[in-house]
Amino acid sequence: MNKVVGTSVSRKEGLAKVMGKAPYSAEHSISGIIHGYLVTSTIAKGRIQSIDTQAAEQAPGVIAVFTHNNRPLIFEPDNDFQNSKIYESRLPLSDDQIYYGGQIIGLVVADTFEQAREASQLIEVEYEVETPLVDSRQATYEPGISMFGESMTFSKGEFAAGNFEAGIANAAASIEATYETATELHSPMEPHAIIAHWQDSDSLTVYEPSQFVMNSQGTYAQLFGILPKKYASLPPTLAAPLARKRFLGPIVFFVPLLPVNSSAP
Amino acid sequence: MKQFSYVRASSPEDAVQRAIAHQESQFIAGGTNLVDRLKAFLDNPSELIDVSRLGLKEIETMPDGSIRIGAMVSNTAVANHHQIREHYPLLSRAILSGASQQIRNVATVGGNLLQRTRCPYYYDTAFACNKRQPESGCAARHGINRMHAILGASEKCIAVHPSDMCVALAALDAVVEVQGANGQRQIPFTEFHRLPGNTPQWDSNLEPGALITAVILPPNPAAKTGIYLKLRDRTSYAFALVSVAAMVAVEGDAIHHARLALGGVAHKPWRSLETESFLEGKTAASETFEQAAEIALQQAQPLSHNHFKVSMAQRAIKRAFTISAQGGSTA
Ligand SMILES: Cc1cc2nc3c(=O)[nH]c(=O)nc-3n(C[C@H](O)[C@H](O)[C@H](O)COP(=O)(O)OP(=O)(O)OC[C@H]3O[C@@H](n4cnc5c(N)ncnc54)[C@H](O)[C@@H]3O)c2cc1C
Repeated sequence: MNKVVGTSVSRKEGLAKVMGKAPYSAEHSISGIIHGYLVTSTIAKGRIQSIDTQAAEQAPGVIAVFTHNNRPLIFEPDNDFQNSKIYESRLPLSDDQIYYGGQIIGLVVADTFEQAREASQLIEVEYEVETPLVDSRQATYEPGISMFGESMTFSKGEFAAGNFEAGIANAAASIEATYETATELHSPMEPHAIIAHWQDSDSLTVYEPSQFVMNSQGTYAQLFGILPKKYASLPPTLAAPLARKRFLGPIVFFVPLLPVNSSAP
Repeated sequence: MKQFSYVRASSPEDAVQRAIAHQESQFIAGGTNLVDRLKAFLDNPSELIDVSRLGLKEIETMPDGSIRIGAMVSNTAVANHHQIREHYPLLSRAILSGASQQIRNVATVGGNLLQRTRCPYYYDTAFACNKRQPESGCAARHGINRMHAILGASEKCIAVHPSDMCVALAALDAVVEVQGANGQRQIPFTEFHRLPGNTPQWDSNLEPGALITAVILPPNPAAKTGIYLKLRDRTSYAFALVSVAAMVAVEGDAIHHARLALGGVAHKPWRSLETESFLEGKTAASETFEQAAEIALQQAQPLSHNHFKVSMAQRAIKRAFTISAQGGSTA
């Protein structure tokens, strides 16, 4: 067994990282690259009544605008942790339902980032607003997905409190002290950014921060119906652990979609 | 894409003339606030008038002993200036408690005065905001209003002014020198910014097209004991929940020349004249400062999420006055 505990192990990419030489995903330059900008829900719960993308489609530089009305074909992955894993089991743009604020409801693809962002502002959305449920005690516990064959369905917990005063009064010993923990904010240095590069119709290179490279590879393969071995996920550098980037979030599905539909890299 | 033109003004007069001739124009100095606002679709100027190359970069001592800081001096240069550090340490402290070194290197004094609120509902165009879009409503009032005002707010707006530097300037009786269509005038600092009332779209009393040319600090021997305390969620690179600029001069046991301004609590740096006159002549003692802190927050009207700001401000005031009465600290 190799000795890891108690040994100082240098990260392979450690030197490059501390020297600022490790490129972030978005720093890779690929010629002919096009850009996507997400449109997100401004309500927390409800339904999209209408989404008008006409003005955005006609804006300068815009290549395509995707919503639930014209989502390109993607396949449901196993999402079993073994072959593939995604954070949200509902695929984005599946339908007109809104489950949370900031949910992805559209994607604008344009020649430049600025054009895509500008056009995203021209999209008019009308919602049927419902009141979101924000109290976990009232949550319904629906069957969850399974992982490695085991059910991950959570059940409603029971909360109970004993009698602290009585307990401490009868305790054999007690100490009194104040412990404080300052708020810690988790701020990854690299925001989510992904570049997808289709070499041909069934081979794809993805540049993304990931802690789970093999699994991402499998997930992409299932989502886009390509053979895993044809597909290479090459993170230039591994994301730092716990950088909020373990599994594929809903954002990533889109990136590889763009080129498929526009036949540009 | 929204198009705008970019011009460099050749003199303060030229800048003002252009701004008045071109109603939809905006001045740009360091750009650290304005460029963010442009990217967030909050402002839509048809012309940017660059005022960063007009000179106005001097910090000078005037014949009457006051210090005149040019509007284009960087925040860093003010904070590091030897005379500011020696005579107005709270100003140096206030500036260094804000933003980051890189931002302070670029940010100017004029721009700092006119930076706009960080109210998240102002920044997010999906929400109603009377400051961004007059008469559209205020989503913050019944939203997450933890960061918002507890003093001087209105039905229309509960936003707070985000600047640290301005809180110190308010306590120091600074004067803002501006160049307008009708020449130069001076505005006492406490009259420069305004409360929201029914027109929260206006942050200040600066007339359209007018340019800030300098900030003047009157001589103030008591300022050496001045304190700036900033309380925030994170100990660096965060805006204030509450901040306090305070000073007292103590002779024998008696207080004179008390000054108090609060940040993070109102639409403008909040100077508390009642507290100051209460303190005048009183004994420098713990109860005195406790009472002073109570007076300062008497009019407070906390919102659903920010009751904590009242006691936080009171404790900070007491602490700042206590340190100041002991001679302050250096910058
Ligand atoms: C990430 C971040 C964190 C920050 N944290 C803090 C903080 O903790 N505390 C704090 O106090 N500040 C903070 N700031 C704000 C910073 O201090 C201001 O952005 C800066 O002072 C603005 O100066 P500027 O020269 O860049 O202004 P600009 O962005 O160029 O201009 C700001 C505004 O002032 C106007 N203007 C500029 N100069 C003049 C002039 N001479 N006359 C008339 N109008 C003028 C412009 O038209 C514009 O509306 C932060 C900023 C950022 C980006």
